[in-house]
Amino acid sequence: MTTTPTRASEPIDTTVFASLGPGQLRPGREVDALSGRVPQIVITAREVEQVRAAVTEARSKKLGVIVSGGGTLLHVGNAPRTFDIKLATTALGRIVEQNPEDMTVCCEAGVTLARLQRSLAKLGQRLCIDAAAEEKATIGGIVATNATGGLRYGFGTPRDLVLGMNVIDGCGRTLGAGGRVVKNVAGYDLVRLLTGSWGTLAVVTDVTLRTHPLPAAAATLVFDFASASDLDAARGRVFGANLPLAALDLAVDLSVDPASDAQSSAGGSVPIWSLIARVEGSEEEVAAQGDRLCALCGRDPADALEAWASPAGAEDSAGAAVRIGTEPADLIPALVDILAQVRQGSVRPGAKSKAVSLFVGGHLGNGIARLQLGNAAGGAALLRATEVGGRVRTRVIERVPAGDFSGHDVWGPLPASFALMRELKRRFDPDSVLAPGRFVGGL
Amino acid sequence: MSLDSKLLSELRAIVGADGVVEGRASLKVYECDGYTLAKAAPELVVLPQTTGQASEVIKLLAARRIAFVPRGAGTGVSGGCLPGDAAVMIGTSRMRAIRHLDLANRVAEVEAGVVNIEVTRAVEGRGFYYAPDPSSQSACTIGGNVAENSGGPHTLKYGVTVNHLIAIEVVLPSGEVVWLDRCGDAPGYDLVGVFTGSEGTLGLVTAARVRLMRRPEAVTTLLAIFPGVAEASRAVSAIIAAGIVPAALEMMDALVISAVEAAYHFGFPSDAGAVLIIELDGLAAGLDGLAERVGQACVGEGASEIRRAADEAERALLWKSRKRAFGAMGRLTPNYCTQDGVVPRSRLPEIVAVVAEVSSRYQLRIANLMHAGDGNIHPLILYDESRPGEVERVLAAGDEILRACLDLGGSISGEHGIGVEKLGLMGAAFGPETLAAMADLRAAFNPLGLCNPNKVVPTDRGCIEVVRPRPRGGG
Repeated sequence: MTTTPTRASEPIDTTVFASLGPGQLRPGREVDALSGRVPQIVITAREVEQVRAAVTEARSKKLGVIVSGGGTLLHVGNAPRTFDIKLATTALGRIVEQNPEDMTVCCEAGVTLARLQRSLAKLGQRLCIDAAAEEKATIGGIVATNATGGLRYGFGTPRDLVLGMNVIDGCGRTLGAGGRVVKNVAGYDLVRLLTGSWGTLAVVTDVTLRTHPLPAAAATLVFDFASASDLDAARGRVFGANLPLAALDLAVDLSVDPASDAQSSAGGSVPIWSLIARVEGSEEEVAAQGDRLCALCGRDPADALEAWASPAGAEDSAGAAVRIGTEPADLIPALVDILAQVRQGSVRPGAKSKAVSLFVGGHLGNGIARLQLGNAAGGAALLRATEVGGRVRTRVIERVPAGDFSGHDVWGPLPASFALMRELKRRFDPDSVLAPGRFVGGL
Repeated sequence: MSLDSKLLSELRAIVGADGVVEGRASLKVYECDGYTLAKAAPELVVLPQTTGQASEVIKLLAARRIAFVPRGAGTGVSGGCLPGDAAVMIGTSRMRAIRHLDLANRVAEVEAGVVNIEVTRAVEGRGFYYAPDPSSQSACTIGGNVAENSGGPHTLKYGVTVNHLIAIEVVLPSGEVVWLDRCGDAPGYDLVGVFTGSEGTLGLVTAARVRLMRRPEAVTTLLAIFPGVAEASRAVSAIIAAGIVPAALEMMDALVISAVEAAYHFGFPSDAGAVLIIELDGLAAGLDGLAERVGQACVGEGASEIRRAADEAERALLWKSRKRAFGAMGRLTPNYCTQDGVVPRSRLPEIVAVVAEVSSRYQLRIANLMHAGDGNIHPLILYDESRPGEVERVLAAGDEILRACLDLGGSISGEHGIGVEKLGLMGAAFGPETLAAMADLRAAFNPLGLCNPNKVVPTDRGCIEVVRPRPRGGG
């Protein structure tokens, strides 16, 4: 369990932010709270210089700054040691440069994924990042959290797609990381250090990303299986085949009803395990991949279901959600174990057991799954069942009931290289101004 | 610095007598990498056979505050393993085990001294391969590939080394062994990404878990012949603009063609001003149509002829001609120097014009070889070191080309690294605060500066005096 001692801060003298225009500065409110901590002020930066001013001021007064984009993953993390300034980058909203011939785009941190995609689509291009909540999620937030969707199977994560960025680090320095070209080994790779650093080293102000041409044709095929082992066998065949799939995902809706389970499986609901494959390319390539997938999954092409979006379970703030990582071949066996434990854990002898609603979505080809509960029931069992060990290599708690992460081990055991991470944090944010205590091991 | 006999005997106790190389004659081979002929041999070379030995060696050196430089196969082309201030070189050439193949997860765990092509050889019988394919892949090693974040012709579609790593085992400059691991989206900073391409300045790579790929179902390779480099450059843009991402998109100009034709007799037309080698791969379905579209794009920009490799043998010969082009240059010139600039691909015609202008102004022949699809140029500046003043002109011309790359929004290195070669250009490429942050990054791993000192980022000591060695080429 990570305990996060709070750090007392002095009241902020808002006169130092006199340069901020109307609507850019307001007092923090309950709605801004993270793990119960309400920031003193909320700043919405419109200029990079305002970001720098906020970080510099925070550093001089040892204040805690948490950067917020669209807020889709803002709640994830340890309870902050201090939370004085919520620094919104949503008003950094310019699409700076689109270069379809170079297959690159540069935009400010606050541009939403959906807006960027619409703009790129007009040029026949796209960003191969399909992170969730695209209308809200900002490029800055996606880069800060290395957020991904199913396309990571075919195109990698933001760490593979970000070419450069400008940031303000915890020392208040303006860093130009990487560049605008697709191949670049000049100097240390600050881009990779910063991408996925969850706002603990620097505030991202703009990003240059690699783009891809929009495919001429695409389809998402869904293959349903009655058992985990059937799905896993199909997964092995598909994963081992030389198909250039864009995505290889998983969805399974499991409602664990201890009452009906106790009777017979005939009475209870039988979960459907779905393999979801995204195929892209020319019409011919899409058709050919579809046929091969059907053969590998043992289906007649006429019976393959086609969907246009990956299914997502209902998000319920009352329910817990976790993300786990395994070796790709271990994912299904790990999930089977976890589900058995959740089932067992939610049965309380002598007590009236509640039905547990659990949805699992994941990236079969990458060994990543997200398990989310549809209501408050089963939270403790889910957290116990997904602890790191055995096949489960990593576990991040993404949601807890009531949103208070205090006392939760959000990021799991410290990585072997933690001492290096702490050193990097110390050098890029020596006064622990940025998201203090929120990341792995309280970084 | 002089290394005493006690240290020598302690090192021998760790790695065995045959793991310590000393003496002028034996050390000669370690004097340089592919970049240099500088007389800068280390005082001794230590060749551990295991990670444990490497750790013991580095602990011993750290305790004595003795600087060291890691070395893979010595195929680097920016002087990254030039000893400089380091007395001791640690080579990974005896760490050659393929530790584990896990085809169910498409992973191979290999030691640093395993040659790049050996990874593919170990798994190709089962339809897999390791994608990064630097031109030196039959000699360069995985440890060196990680240190340099090596690329190759197929990076256009498949990415560079860092895109194919799951975890790396490193010995830090303190001697501590640590696995940097990103399996399962491991929470924390992407230290695999940070370490890869750090040119041996953050520690010694001893092993890597690399991602294996399935061989594509079909491959087709086209050769498009152009009257000149300008037309070929425009064809690159036309292909990309058509929404096609080939597996490889390489350019050679007339000078390179004449050298490789003399060496390998592929049958390039003698009057070609430039050629593009375009490889397409993926599903068999649709590949012919794609090749047709690529051919049209080339013809639209002035290609006089499009050939398609008839069979695997012809394809192999074409790639041999391309990958060994550096070696063939010896037929044209006593010496040459390779540059490694990058421009946004749409600016290729402009940088090509700059190279031609620099060539004429400096009165130096410059051959053009490029990973055109990535905008990564390798101008080969031909010269004769016996002519007084020519080396200086070559270096000045090279710097000018790289500065032009920066002006066009590019980079001073796409895949060869900074090493000592381009240290002087880092200040032009990055602002002072960014360079300070890079120095901070290095200090987090290498606080005493003992590991490969004075490389990549200019140090606080300011402009360090590296005797600029006589350049050669490679890559």
